[in-house]
Amino acid sequence: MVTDAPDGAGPGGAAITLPQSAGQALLETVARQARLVPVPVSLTSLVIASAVRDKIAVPILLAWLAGTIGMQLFRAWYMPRLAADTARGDAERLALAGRVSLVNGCIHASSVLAFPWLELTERALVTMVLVGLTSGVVVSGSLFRAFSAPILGMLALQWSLVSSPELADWSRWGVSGLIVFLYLLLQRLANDTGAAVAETFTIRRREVSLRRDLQDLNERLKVALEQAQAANRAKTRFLASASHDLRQPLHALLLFTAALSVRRLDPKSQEIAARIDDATQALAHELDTLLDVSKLDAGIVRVNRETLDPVAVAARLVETMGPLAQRKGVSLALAMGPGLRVDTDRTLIERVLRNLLDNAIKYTEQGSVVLGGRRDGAWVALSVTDTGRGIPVAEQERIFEEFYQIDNPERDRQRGLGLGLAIVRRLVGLLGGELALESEPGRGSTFTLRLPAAPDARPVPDAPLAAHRRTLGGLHVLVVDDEASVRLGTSLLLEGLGCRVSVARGTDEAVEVAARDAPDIVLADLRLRGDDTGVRAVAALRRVRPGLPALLISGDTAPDRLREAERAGLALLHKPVPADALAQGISDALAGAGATRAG
Amino acid sequence: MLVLLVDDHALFRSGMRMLLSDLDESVDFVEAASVEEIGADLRPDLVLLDLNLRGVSGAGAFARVRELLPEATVVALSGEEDPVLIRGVIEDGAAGFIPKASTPGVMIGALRLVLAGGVYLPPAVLGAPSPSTARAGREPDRGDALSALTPRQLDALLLAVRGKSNKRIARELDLSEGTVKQHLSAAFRVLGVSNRTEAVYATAELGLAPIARHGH
Repeated sequence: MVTDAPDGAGPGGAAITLPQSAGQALLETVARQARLVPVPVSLTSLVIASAVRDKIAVPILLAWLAGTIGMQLFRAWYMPRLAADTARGDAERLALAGRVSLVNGCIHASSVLAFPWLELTERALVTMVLVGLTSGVVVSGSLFRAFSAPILGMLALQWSLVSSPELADWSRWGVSGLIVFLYLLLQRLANDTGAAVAETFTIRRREVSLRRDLQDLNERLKVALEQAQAANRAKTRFLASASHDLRQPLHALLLFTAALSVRRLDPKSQEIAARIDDATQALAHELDTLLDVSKLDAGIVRVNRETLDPVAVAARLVETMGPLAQRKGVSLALAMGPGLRVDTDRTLIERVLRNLLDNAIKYTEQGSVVLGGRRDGAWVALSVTDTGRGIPVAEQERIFEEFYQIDNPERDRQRGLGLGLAIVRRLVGLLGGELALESEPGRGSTFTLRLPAAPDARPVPDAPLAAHRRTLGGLHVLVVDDEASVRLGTSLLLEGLGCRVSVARGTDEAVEVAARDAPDIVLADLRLRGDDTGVRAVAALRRVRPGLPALLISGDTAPDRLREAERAGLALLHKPVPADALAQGISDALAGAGATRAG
Repeated sequence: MLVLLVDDHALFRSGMRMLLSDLDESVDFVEAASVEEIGADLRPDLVLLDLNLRGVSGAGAFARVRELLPEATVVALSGEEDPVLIRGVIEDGAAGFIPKASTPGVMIGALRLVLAGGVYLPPAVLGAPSPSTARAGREPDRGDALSALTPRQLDALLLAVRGKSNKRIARELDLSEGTVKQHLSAAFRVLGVSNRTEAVYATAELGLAPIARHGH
């Protein structure tokens, strides 16, 4: 039976001791037995000697007693030494032990030579004692024969040869036969015992070696783990100090570039200075990114939690990243209702969202990127949805790895280092949030960041928005936009403001929807599919419902477009429209329409 | 105007020397590689202090410089742009913080502002509403409100955000300390702030510099 080793017992520790071999185990058993038996065996011999003292000459009797007792003392002394002498082979020592057993057996057997001078009861006593002794040796397995064969052989012989007036010959022969039968039986038992001991030994040995292997393996795993952790720490330290040291000359370079830029330069030199400026800033950005990763890995980034409204962070991001999206011809929209509260770090959450937006814009060639936010039970879910190329399922795990970029085998540096999402993964872990990715190649991707919602007990004051929310509650808004993602984003935003929202793709659909369910206000994208426009949609709707308040929303700032809106007498909001600006715009449009109607 | 740059990086010091001499010809520039190297009889008007020095650095270096040069305005420079670090040095009396990783354009603007006696803080830390505005519930319209301050109140405010003690302000403006305290509490009220640190943030946000008023 395997018992649990005490904690901390090393391989080969004191917890596990086992004889080296089955032979050794047998020798040890015999040695133990040899130390135990001298007293009882000697007493038994004394009993026999005193029983027959009248029949046998005293010198013979004393010699026999001396032989028996001497042999017991010799065995008690010799057998433990033999067992301990592991330098000698098992076979050799077992042969020696066998010889000792044989001599011992012969000495015991010699008492049977006295049978002719003994009475029947005395013979029976001697027989009983000797049979008892031999059956006790069954546990000695292979040594049984050497000890028992002389004794039982002599007994069988004497019982058959020495006659007795009190016992019929056939009875004596019967006893003799019984002794032979007993010998065979005991021999069989001894063999079985020997085999069982050997088998038990093998099994135990296997268990012990298994346990040692396990302990060994455990030890090696621990060492390997420590090495891996040490290597990781060393890597982090290296990265941190390398990027720190590299930043020193970079900061100087930034200053030199600045110094160059304030000097009067000829156009060619100016162009060179501008290129140096670009290169330096790209280098600074990539080093910062590397340093961010190493800092996050080193666990030295602190989380400064505060209760904040993610709309404030998101609106600023959408504002600062708008130009980047615009250059790519991708629309960037904010779809986040007010009243969301998260306990998080303002700087870190902004980095997460900026990296996600940056990534979305980078991989979207046309269409839109929407930064959304909504309450989801005990969570606040912030999401970045794009209509980009999407991410195949097989790549969805790998994109969070360092330096991994889809479709960028040439490692085009314009696409950065591929660390953005690796940083996101680390930051989300640090903030105690969850990040999920849903994506379909060719359709787009949604990254959703879930953060625990802050208890409403500490509301961030937000008076102006709250006022809009009251006035906009229950308002039915018709959103006309040909982009599905914008329709969805704007709907979410308006629903967040307490409005009821219907959507339409273009002028025809808008008129249809309005006929079924009259809107209180219409929000139309300036440019719709084909030659359809927001101005045309508003005009068509106003034919059905004159004086319907309307707002135009546009992502493009082309002057003729703006003039078009102006001519139509419609207010124009520029994308991305933050929640409060939209709320304000709607309020103004409603107030304006009311004033017009009143006047 | 004497500007002292304390930075252990020689290349950065030479870059700063070139840039400052181009930005303002009236600037005299001295450098030190460590706080220990600052000359005993040096009396700079402005100290640009790198917070990541070898040996004594960070808050320790800052405290040492304030002790050595109690009259100087100290602006912190650092490669790290940690909001907590920045708030810490402002609380300790710094008159601004310029990230070393600033783009050349930003660096030029920040140095111009600082040379003119204004306060520069990176936009990232200004974006976060200060605790006082969160309490007030809305951003007060500071730009307009400032015009309500008397020239004396504005002077006291600008000296305070540059890290001067009330006693120093009183001496420079030739006023009693009690009057300085009154001027400052009036200015803080107008800015919607409750202490000097918040006043530094508010001033940086306004990009306020006393150029016209002092005519340096």
